[in-house]
Amino acid sequence: MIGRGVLRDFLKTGSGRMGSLFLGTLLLVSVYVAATYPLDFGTRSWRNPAVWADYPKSAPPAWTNVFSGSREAEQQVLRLSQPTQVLTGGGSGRTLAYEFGTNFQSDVPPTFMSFTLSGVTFQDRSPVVTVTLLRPDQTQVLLYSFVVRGPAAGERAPFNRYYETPLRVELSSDQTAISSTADFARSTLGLDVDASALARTGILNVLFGTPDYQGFKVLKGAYATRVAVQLSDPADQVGSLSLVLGGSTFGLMGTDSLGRDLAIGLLFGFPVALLIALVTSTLTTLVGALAGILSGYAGGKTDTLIQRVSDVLNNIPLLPILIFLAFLFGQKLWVVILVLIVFSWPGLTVIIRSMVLQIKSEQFVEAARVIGAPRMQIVLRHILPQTAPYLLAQMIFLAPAAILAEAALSFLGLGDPSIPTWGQILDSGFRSGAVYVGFWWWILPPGLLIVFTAMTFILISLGLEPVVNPKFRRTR
Amino acid sequence: MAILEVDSLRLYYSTERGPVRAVDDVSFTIGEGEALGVVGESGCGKTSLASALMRLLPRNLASYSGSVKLDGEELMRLSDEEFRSRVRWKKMAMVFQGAMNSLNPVLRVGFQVAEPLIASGGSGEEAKRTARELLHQVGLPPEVYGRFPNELSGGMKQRAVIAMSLVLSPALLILDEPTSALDVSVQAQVMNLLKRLKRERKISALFITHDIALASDICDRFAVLYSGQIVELGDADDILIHPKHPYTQKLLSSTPRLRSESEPEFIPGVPPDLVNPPSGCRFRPRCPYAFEPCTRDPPIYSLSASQASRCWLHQSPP
Amino acid sequence: MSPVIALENVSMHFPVRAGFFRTLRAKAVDGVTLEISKGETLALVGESGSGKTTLGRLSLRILAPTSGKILFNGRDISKSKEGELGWFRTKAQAIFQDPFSSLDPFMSIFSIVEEPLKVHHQGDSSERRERVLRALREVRLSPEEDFASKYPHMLSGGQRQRVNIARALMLRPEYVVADEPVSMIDVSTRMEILQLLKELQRSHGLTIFYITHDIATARHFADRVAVMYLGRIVEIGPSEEVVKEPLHPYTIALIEAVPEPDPSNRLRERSSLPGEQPSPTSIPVACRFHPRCRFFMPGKCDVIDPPLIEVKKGRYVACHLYPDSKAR
Repeated sequence: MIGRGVLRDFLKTGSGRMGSLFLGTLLLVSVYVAATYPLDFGTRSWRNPAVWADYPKSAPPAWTNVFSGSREAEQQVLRLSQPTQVLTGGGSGRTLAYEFGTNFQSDVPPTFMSFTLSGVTFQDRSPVVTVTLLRPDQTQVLLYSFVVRGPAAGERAPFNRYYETPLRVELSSDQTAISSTADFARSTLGLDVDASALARTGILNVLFGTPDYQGFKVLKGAYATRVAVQLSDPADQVGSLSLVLGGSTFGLMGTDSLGRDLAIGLLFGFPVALLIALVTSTLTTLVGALAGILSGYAGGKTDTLIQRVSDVLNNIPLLPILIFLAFLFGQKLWVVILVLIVFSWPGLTVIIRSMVLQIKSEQFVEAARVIGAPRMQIVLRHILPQTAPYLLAQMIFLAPAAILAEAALSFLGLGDPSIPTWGQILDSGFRSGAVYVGFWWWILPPGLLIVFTAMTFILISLGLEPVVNPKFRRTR
Repeated sequence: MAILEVDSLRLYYSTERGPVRAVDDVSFTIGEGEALGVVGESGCGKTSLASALMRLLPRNLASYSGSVKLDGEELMRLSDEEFRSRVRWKKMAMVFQGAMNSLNPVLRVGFQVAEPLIASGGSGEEAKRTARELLHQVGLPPEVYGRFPNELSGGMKQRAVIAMSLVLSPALLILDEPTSALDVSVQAQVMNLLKRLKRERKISALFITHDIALASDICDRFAVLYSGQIVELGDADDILIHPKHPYTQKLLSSTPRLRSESEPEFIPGVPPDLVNPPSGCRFRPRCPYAFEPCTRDPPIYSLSASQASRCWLHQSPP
Repeated sequence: MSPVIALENVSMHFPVRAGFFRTLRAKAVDGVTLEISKGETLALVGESGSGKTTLGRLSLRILAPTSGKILFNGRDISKSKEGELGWFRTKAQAIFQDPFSSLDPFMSIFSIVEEPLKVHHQGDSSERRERVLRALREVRLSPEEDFASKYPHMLSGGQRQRVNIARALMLRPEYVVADEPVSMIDVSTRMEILQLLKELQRSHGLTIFYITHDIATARHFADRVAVMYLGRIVEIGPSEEVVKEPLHPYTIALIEAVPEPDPSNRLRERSSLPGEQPSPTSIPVACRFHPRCRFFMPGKCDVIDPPLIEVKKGRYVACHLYPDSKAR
């Protein structure tokens, strides 16, 4: 029958095969993402700076190390929920020691250093936290120490701290850490530097290096960061701690200026792009076909009305309307999809109408009328099947148009902020000047993915061309 | 002397299913002032014969072989460019089926008639005069010169197209179903015009039609075409009164007549596929007289000085 | 015998847009009265633009007439709504001109022929199958199982026309309109289709309205011939008589214009009608044929519209050349 033959003929064409392969890939990735990502990924993760605080900013993909001569620092995230050591002092007090060890072998120091403490409970006296860096040359620096905030007026024990918002200390830019490092440089390394100078140059090349004639050279070897928490009551507790040594490269796709992992954002773009493509093209085709058939078959006033409406819609500029609607309803994805549908169906309707007018005058339609077939049946059995191949082709052709339109709108800043798309990633890249500073990993991948998806659908419609075209069919 | 001599002409088209043998070993001549009628059913290759003579198909789609001599000059040796510039329209013109729709709707009729003259280097004034004269000859009133095609009726447009084909005084005019898009009464007018032109201008013509009755109105000789081959060739009177080939006989008896009592018959079956024609005689599957020798290709028997037929029945004297 | 279909003074006028504000009325059919008896074949002969196809469509009630009555077996259907015509749709069928566009290219021959049964909910699927195959056998498309599973593009013109006939006969109609059923197929197979139709007419007791431009096939196929010119019937009579002794000047010219495969005709110029049929939007006054008529009588033909009158037994003509035999 026709259905199976169509598929076989379609797969015979090179573009058909390639298009199907691409579409398969798109679908597979989308299904994976849909299954593993939370629905509110956009608001909960992507748009939440706290999530990305410990990520390096504007870091190229890790694999670029292969191409660059020097060994860039890689991002290291160390996490502990149990102390490595518990020291009991006099009385009921004890000290929990957390030691984060790392073998540092890069040619450049970490880009930043931060530590995070979450979930501290104390009964009476505030715990005291100290952070000490132990270097491979057996020297050590007391980087940071602080006392957990004590009871507020009227607050009763137990006192919970850092549960809702963990305490995050960016050691590399913390004032205390800077002056400790300055002390360390003066006393241990014998350098004449003061804290304000270090604040400008950064402390990490001091902490992770030894002075040489040019300045500092990275001291490779085993580093340990020891965090000690002094507790006074047996019921006092500490949740978890983490230490981040910021790298200058990150992951598979790098990060943007907010530190967001682009790989995650790009992956999330797959199902979104497919959703936009499928919903827009399906609904547009549906509306366009219905209106076209109604217009062509019913004729008269209905025809005039539909044609005038589509004329008007065809001639309204899309962009101002979108800006206006975005202002009215907020930037929502469904508004974008709705507007795309409302403005794309007229083109299809005009064509379907002329096809229906032509099919209507074919003698087999008249034959069906002579038989006494009801209008609805004539439309469904005789007219719709004639337009179906064209509708299918149009539907597939509309898909890349929808993706490109959404990308263009996002690029203009009209995208839905709660749902990251490739267009939005591209947009934020441009806004942050990624092009001018050469953050290619921020611009190229989303662009290429848009092109790839659009091409997938175009390849499929190219593959369908010989199948759909009745001229080719009749010779079979 | 023969104006056109066609010898072993072949035209094969390449298609996915294999070569279509649209014209398969066709030979005939047309004398000066003579009209040859090429008659056959749809799909017998008669329009392909015209496109082979006019070389209307690009060579990558179709392959030609054989010899076509016009006024003694071998046309098959000419390059496409030479053919276009020297032969087409100048020596051999053609009126297509539905040619009246081939007029350019935005140009005035007179200019379209005169255009070939101007294009071949004639002076504007002279071309205008010739065009007016020709329009008069084909029976169109003078005001038609300044009209646009959509202002003319179907019959008038067809006359204008005939005038266009005559403007360079070609040695041979190919008429491919020149009246099939017209109504019966208008068809009679156009046929009258063609008859008058043939008589007055001594036009040599190849008249292609499926309607043997129509052809009998104007043609001196007939070539009956079946499945890309000529099955019978001869003087019109001989063929109409004493058709020799079974196909010609059947074709004549299937034509409904107004002025005779005979009940029309029909030829059972369908014309053969030009990609896979039947072996031997191609008419064999539909022929009431088919017998043993017909599985082999029949030779052409010359039955008289003016009549030849491709049929095994002529093998032994009847 | 009572007529199966009777048209009484039927007219069909279409609005035609001419320019931006002007709307003309095209009088495609203009006051036609016609009856076809049971089992009879009436040929309607006319040139393109004469309104013959419109008349056929009116008699099938695909169009509703502007004025006049259409009676089917005595029942007035001229103003019935489509919903009330269900019974008529099973009794009147059509065979169309174009063997290529009259069959839905997306449907198999089986579904095409089965469709009338489905539309009218006749029989279950095995019964329908039985009837479809029988119909295909009747129109000699055998082996019928093979043809049933084919698609229209796989068939020749003649074979498609048989499918058309099979579909038309599926509901066992009484009345069939055959609009140029053979004009697009080869001369050599035309008579085959017409003879098949004739046979089926006898076995099914059909009444046939044969619409054609070809008076030669009409002569062989029809019992009576009606000649139509610009929306009017100008002559009706038994086909042999009309062909041998045409009365109306238009019929005379029409017959004279038909070529015959006869060597004596060669290069003889036929007396042909001058000019062409005018447009139905600008019909000449009085006798609409007078501007082309060789017997034009000034003061009469351009003043009085001749009615269709019986001048001999069974022969009707609308022309001032023939005085009304009854009036005398």
